[in-house]
Amino acid sequence: MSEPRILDAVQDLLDLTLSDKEERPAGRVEDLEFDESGHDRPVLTALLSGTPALADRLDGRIGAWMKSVYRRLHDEKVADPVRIELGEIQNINGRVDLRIGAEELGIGRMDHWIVDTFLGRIPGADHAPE
Amino acid sequence: MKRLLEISLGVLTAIGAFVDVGDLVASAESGARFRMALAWALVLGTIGIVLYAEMAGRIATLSKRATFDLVRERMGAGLGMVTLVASFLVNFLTLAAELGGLALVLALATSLNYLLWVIPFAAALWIVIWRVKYSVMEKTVGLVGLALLVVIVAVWRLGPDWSALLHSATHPVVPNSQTHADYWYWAISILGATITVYEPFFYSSGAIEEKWGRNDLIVNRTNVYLGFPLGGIVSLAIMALGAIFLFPRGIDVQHLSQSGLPVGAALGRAGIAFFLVGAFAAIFAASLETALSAGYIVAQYFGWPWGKMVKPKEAPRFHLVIIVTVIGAALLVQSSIEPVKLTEYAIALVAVAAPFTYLPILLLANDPRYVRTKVNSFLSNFLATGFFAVLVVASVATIPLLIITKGGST
Repeated sequence: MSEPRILDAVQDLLDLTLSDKEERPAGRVEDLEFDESGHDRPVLTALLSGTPALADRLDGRIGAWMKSVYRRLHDEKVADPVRIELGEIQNINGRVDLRIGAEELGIGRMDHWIVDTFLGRIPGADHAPE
Repeated sequence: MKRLLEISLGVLTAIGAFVDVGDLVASAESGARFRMALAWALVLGTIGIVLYAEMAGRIATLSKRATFDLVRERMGAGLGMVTLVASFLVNFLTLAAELGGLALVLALATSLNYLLWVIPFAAALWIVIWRVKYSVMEKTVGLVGLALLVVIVAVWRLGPDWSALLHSATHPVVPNSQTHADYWYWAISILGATITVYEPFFYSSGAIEEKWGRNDLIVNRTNVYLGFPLGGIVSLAIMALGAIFLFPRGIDVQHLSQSGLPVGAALGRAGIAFFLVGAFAAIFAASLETALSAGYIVAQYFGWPWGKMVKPKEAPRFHLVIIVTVIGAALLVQSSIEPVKLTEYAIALVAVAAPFTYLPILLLANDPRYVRTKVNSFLSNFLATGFFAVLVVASVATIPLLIITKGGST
């Protein structure tokens, strides 16, 4: 383990890119969850990600609009933000490296649907451009 | 030797890719209306894009992060979203303008109606993005775009009164036929056409796609410091052609063919052929850049996988955004909205969105967390801050001027 560091939750954590165990971008830290019960100051309990978390953070019409679009595209039960327990974090340094895959977290569910119904059928989807 | 070749290739590519439909329209039209009285705006815009593209390239090279990735991180979700929406809309209009421009060039070459060419070109554009490797794509269109250098030959062949041209550039006077509001509206348009909204996004994402490292900082500098100003000279030559040939005849640029008219007069059919090939490649390059930028900025804001270096299957949302954007832009052009008018609105609106994207670049280029020891020098900060102030004034003035001049057409 490296030396303990002091991080500023807003400066050094919020809005960072998440990187899953295969080092693929897996969204952003859209919001932070704090436990405010029983302590003299709030304690960070989880990172929140996914479109619902972002929609909650954006005020007004655009947030509400994002949420309603997301609801239409997904099951009722996944309309909540994705929670990432602190134990899943490998490292924080300019980005948040996770120990688990994006799929296990439920991030990027749309990707499968896009590939299966549409993109995957186009020739060349399996190769990087040459 | 290989390094030198790579650097010169980069410079040549940068010249070809500097010019797009915005420059072709704005330079020719402002030359035709104000002679060289707006040359200063072109020079100012070139200095601005040189400064900011160099910073965006340096930040990307050292931090391995593209501009919009960092815009989101430093500006947060809310302001980042405002920047995303503004940049996306202007970029979308620019893409539509480029597609319209491509179709117009082809229509000139084939005498078919331009509307027939929109869908085939949107499709070709997407196939290149889907299948062709980044470096191949960029170098091919950039090099063919060099055919546009024919405009410099054309200026020389028309044998203008050089001292009168220079005088018109250094002592700007608004001709009697034009209003002052029009003059300032076109100053902003020239500025917008020169800086473009997509260049920093595209350039910094390209640096990541090509895996630039510390050693490539020199490539970044030469591309920008040499290639962009040479591209600026091409724009200046197009303005000069307008001033020498179109202004005295009272020809107003209503159609892209009028940008090429002086080239034909100076060099005949061969000149026109070079001009059309160069214009086609330059606009095609810009269409690729804007289409890719749409995917880059959305994916980077949300933290999705992006880029041409990964399989399309692994960056599905990035590719979906590009497909939807290209289709949308093609439909907009197909609605038979006047492509030259569309271009004029797109370049004027660049000024409205530019401060949002240029400020984070300036701040990040001074932040050791991203660029380590390579922070801006005092001189570049001084110039970049001055340029930013100009952008803010232009940004505030654009909409009122757009309304007063009815889109620069009074």
